[in-house]
Parts: sequence; structure tokens; C-alpha cells
Amino acid sequence: MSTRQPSELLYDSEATLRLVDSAILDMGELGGEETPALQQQLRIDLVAPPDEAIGFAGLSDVLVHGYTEVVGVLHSLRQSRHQLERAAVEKVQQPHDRLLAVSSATETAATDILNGLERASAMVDDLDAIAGEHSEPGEPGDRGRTIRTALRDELFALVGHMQFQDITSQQLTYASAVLTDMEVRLAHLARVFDPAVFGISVPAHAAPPPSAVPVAVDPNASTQNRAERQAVADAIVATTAS
Amino acid sequence: MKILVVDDSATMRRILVNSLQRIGYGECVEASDGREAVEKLDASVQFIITDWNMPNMSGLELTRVLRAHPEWKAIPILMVSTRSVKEDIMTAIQAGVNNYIVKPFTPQVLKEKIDAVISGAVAAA
Repeated sequence: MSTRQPSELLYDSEATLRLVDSAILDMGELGGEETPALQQQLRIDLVAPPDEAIGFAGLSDVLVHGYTEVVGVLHSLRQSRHQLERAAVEKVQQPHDRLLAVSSATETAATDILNGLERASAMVDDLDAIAGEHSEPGEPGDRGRTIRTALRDELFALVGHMQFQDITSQQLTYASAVLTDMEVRLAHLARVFDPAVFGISVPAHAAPPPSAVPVAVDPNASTQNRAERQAVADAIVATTAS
Repeated sequence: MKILVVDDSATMRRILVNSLQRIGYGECVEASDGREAVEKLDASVQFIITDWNMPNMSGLELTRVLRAHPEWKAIPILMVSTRSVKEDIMTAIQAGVNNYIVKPFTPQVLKEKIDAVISGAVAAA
């Protein structure tokens, strides 16, 4: 597996989080308690007594101004909702799909490699058989036999190294589950803005999955420090047995 | 000795079976999760090697089910898992696994642990 996939994933995740952060900030600025300055400005614009007495014409101006402000807020909310939907549907879904595709591809590749290694081992067995047919009784061990034994050991070691596929697959599945969860949360956040209120149509593809599928994976799965981690297990087993 | 190999990863099952054959245990039966393992258990199975993280029924659940079953409560169980946190290993041992291997494993470690479990079972008998 190339290192490009995880780095792309990280980039996309970071971009998504920035987008969410920006959207939430926008929401706060538009109506939250964090931006009293804007609220104060609106309050002054809308209700502060003018220097001169307001006539019907002046009241009309105030209402038009207020209406314009409200429309602006609604427009910003629409944009925030749109950005959240985009984040949920595009920014998260694409890396999620890519991860699943990579995981599937590594499993297929691992199967192909194991098939090849088993065929190669069978060929070494055939070479052994052929060498046995042509050897004379009492003949000293030949160099070919030594090489065949070494080759068989190498092939067997390669089979063992294929465990990396299971471990990376668990890591990818976990990352994919995290993205699914993020997608669901973003979609729900987008729905905080009721489409009926703002007159926004919800695209069919924006519907989030019903729930994140529980995955049977170890997020800490690793190929590193095998001996040290086995030593920890051995110590616990020994302590329990004694 | 007939060994039941339980792992949801086809790659891992294949590697385990290959390794077992290499160290002299040629008779294996495979299951992709704990539930299938229970279905495939019969009197001919003498040893179980199981993963922890699996769908439907995990290796931990499988261990607990077997340890609570009168017929299977004494069958040797070796867990082979990526989980290497102390608390997890303690949990597995307390559930009833006889020994524990952290993935990725080597055939030498696999043989060593199988031998240890068998000798422990013999000593306990």
C-alpha cells in the first residue's frame, strides 16, 4: 500500500474539520451568544430611538432595514447548511470509500501472493522429488538440497509476513468507521437547520446512513515491537499461572 | 491433534493453517467467527486457536461460552490477537484462554505456546 492514501485521508479529515469549525463559527456569529457586538449592532439599528422622532416613513425604513438584515442572516444560514452537507457527503464519503477500496485491494493482493507462495513451495517439493530420483544411495548431501531447504524457509517466512494485511486491514476498517461516524454527525448537524423553515430542498444523496456499523477491529493493531508486546503477554500468563 | 482455527480474516486463517502444518499439526478445521466455531465443534477437535476481534461472536465471547459448557470447559484455547494492552490480555486470561499470542506471530512462538498449553493441560489432568 502506498503512503499516499493515509496522507490524503489526513488532509481530507483536516479540511473537513476546518470546514465544520468555520461553519460553526459562522453560526455563532450569526446568532450565537459569542458575538454580542453583532447583536448589539442589530439592536441599535432596529430599536434604538433615533435622534429625531420617527414618522410612519421612518418606521418603514427601520422595518425594511430589519428585514434586509434577517434575509442576510437566513442566506448565511443556508450557506452554512450547504457547506455542512458538502462536508458530510463529499469530504467524508470520498476518503471512506477509498479506504474500503484499499482494504479490499490489499486482501485480494494478499490472497494472490499466498497462492503464489504456495505454488512456489510446491515447486520446491517437486525439485526435492526430482533430486531424490537422481541421487545415488550413499551420495553425500548436495548443495542443491541446502539451497532448496533455504528457499523453502524463505517462502515460509514470506507467508508469515503476510500478517501485515490483517493488521493494516483492521487499521483501515477502524479509520473508515471513524469517517462514517463523522459523516453521520455532520449530516445531523446540517439538519439542525430545518429545510422547511428556510425553504431548502435536501438532496437525496445527503441522507446519512442510519448508524455507524459496529466494527470488530483493534484500533491499536500494529506490526511494530512484536517481541516487546509478546513479552507483556507472557508475563501476564506466567503471573496468572503461578 | 485436530485444531480448530477461528479468525474472520481469510488471510490469517491461511497463515495459521500453513504455520500449523509446518510445525507438525496438519489436521485443521476453520471457522470465520465464534458462532461458526461453536457449530463446527465436535469431539474430534482437541485444541482451539482463536482471534479476539470478530463479528457475530468474538474470541472472548467464544471462550466464555466454551468455559461455561460442560462438554467444552476444559478444551485448550490459545488466543492470537493484535490486542496487546495489559488489561485486554488480563481479560482474556480471566475469561479462560490458556495462553496468548500477540500478532504478528512467528511459527516458533506459535509452536512454543501450543506446546506450553498442551503440557499444562497434561499436567493439570
